[in-house]
Amino acid sequence: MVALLLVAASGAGAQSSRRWGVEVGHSYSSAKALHQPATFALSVGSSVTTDIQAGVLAGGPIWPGASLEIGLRTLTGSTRTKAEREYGAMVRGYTLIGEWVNALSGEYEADGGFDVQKGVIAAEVSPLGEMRWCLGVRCARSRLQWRPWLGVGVGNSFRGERALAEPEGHAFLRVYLRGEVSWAPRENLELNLESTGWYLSRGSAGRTNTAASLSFEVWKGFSLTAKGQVGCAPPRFGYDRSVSVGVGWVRRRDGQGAGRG
Amino acid sequence: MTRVDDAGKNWEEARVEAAVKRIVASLTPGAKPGALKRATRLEADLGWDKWYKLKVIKPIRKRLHEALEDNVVLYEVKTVGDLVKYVWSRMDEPAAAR
Repeated sequence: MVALLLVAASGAGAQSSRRWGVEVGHSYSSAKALHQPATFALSVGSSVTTDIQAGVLAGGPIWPGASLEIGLRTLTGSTRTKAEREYGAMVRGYTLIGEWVNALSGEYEADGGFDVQKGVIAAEVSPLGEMRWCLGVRCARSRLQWRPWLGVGVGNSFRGERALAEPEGHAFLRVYLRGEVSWAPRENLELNLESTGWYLSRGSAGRTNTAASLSFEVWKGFSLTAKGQVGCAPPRFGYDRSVSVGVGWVRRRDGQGAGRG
Repeated sequence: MTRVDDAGKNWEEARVEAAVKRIVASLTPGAKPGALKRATRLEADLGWDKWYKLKVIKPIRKRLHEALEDNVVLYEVKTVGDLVKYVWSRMDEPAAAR
């Protein structure tokens, strides 16, 4: 089997004032998920299959003191069955209260056949940061940086049989804890990880999902990237795992990689 | 050329830059104000994440007496120089301050 893998994470630079910026990565769900490359994989064997994992996030100020983010994400391609595919769209706003970042979001989630469609309104909080604990800022010695988010969401399954929406019902509550971690032992080498644990209502068991990538930048944002995902992600919360290796290109809104803006 | 902060104190741009660099260094593990340049990027070079940038608002309000807007810091301030320019732009011309 010959496999050709193209990995790309890009973002339009946002150096101009009062302009929105766009970032592209694995998913819009967190900053570290956006720093993981979007992936397009093409496998040529007995048949040609594709695997696409991508998210895009546009964000910026809407008026003084208020900002907004709008995102799209997908896990799709012919490698995945309809039930394994995921689509999502999200709008999210932030406020700063004291030493806490507060986010309010509305998200639409669907599987590949649109047999399961869910809408979720969620609120989440994260502390601004703490230098001693590498929380939000990279520690000088360990080169580690992390950030936790605690969230609660209420939602509804728009359509589909109740069995398809399980482990959640037609109306549901989610409580979740999400961690973002990055480790950059060298200037051109970076590990980004996002892991989420959900407690789902109706007495069902919890679910977890973890996505990670290790990228080695070789020239002006082009990188060799290894990427993995394991766990159960919404809307179906079915177990899935994948590993891929490829060539990537990174251009970010914050000026990292080649994307100096 | 001097400008006036919200407490009526006069500032030269070089002093604003020095004060901002001290604040940025105090929030960055292992950083020294003298090693920071205006082109130093808060996220890419200093390892700050998007939200950590908001940590500058409180010390700048305390030391430079200027209130910064959250979304400007989040989406438009990328370098130490951007932050210096933003704080400087918030200060008033001496004539306007009277």
